[in-house]
Amino acid sequence: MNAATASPSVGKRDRPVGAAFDPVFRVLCFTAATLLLSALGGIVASLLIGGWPALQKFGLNFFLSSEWNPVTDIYGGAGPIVGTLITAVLSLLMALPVAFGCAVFLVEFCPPIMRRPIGIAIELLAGVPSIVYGMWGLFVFAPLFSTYVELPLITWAPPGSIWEKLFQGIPNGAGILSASVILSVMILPYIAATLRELFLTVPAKVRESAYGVGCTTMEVVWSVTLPYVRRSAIGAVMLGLGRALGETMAVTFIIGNSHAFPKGLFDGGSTIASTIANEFAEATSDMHSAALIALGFVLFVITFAVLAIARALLGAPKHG
Amino acid sequence: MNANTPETFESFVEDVPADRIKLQTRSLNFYYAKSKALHDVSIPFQDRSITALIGPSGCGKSTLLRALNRIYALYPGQRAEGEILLDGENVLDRGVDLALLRARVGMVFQQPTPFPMSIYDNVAFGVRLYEKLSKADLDNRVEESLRRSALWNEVKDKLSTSGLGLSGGQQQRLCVARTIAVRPEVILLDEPASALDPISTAKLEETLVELKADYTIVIVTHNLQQAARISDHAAFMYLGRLIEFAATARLFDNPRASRTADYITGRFG
Repeated sequence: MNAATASPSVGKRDRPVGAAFDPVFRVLCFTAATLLLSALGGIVASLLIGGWPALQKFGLNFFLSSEWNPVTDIYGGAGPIVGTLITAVLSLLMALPVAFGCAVFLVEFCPPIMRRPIGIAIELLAGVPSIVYGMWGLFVFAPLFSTYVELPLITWAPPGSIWEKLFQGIPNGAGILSASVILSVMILPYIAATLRELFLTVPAKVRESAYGVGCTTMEVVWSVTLPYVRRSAIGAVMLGLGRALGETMAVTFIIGNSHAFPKGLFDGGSTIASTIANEFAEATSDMHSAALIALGFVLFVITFAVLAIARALLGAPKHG
Repeated sequence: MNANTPETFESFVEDVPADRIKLQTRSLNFYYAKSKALHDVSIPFQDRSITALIGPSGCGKSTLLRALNRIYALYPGQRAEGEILLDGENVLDRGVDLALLRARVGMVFQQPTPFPMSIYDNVAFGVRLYEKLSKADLDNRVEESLRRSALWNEVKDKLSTSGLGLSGGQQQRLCVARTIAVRPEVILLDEPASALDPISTAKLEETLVELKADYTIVIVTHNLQQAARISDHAAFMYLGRLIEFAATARLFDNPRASRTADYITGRFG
């Protein structure tokens, strides 16, 4: 390029072959990117169009009513929508402290010998297919949860107290709380791995300075490491939340699949994803399909919003 | 430097009055995993004075400094043997409270390391760990520390803004303020001026000279003029050994070890 501007004789030279293909290469890359974007746009559009009849017919009631009745063809999605949000938030609340402890341990306390095994364990946890979590949840976790957590808690809860309300439901091991526990195990590795990476970005000298004024490890983590990565850490958490919102198979196995508003933590419920997975193949009417697609659209919007916020907080997409 | 002939290391260490020794090492050996970085270093640091550690890169002066408050303990594989006596107590003993030790032996690093918080909170940070002061007392402590580190006039109107917004020189003086706010007994500085411009360096040096009225100061520096200007004692180190320790004027005017002479006249290093 410099030669072209500097020397008038450049026209006589043979251009290297590769340079001729540069415009082609450019177009190819551009096409690839455009394909991706149009696929995304197409998905949004088809979800909206497919779900429109339901959204139009039920209006706000689609979001406010929990009456979901294929027999009368009336569909209110409040049950699955609320179920989705509750399980996602509960799982986050359970996963976050453990993920945080895990990341701090790896960065601050872990003997070098154990660092790799624990790191690998975290990766493996992230790699387990969700159907496996679902089966394990239903066949192994649910019976244990029922016997050792649900029954004792229901028996213990004093009548008339807030606990009794909270622990309502059939203690069969499947329900909102069970689903949240399984979900938390699934999102744990993502949050832990991201937090660990973030903690490692704190310059060694800053940590040394904090130790240098006489901090204990806990004080260093709370007062220096966390503020240093605060923004990105919230982003990491949102990434986990995004995953929890959309998780389907494991939840479908263990949430109990009831469309009613869950009355308590042990009560059966449903999420948007589990509802779609359960009913789509056997949707009885066009309106039923439309309602399910509309639910899909809602899930898309919620997840997109969460991930967008996460990305914005994480800054440059280097943890993506 | 002649790498092929076996080298002998004769050590010339001048005495310091015993009752004025605040901190000293005795036969200190230091290891990074298996490689030995300090060999039998015995050096006294005099109370309320500045001791400069000089020597070519890799001579162990930073290692020595990092041993004194056991900051190296953050890293597995690094260890020290021998004795480091602070007021006669061996800080290498098991069971020494490291956080407390580091509050007594403060440290300022080569690169300024302000914490991601306001200027005020940066200075109050360490104080809050160890003392429950009233708001007014804490305000006073912060102001006093910032005055002593010659930063007060530049930041007094923006104490609540982030410490990361200051210039490099100001950040370094902020780190000095943060260190002295805890009222340590010893201050260790690891090439604190190497990232600073000449004016900031001059201010920092003034600050250190004023601070020595109350503190025992140990400074690692590559800048021989700086060592000559501000220190009372100087120690020349080479290949992990203490070659010479003496009053600064003596060490620079009339070095006893030939290696010291070579180094300070610029013949190597």
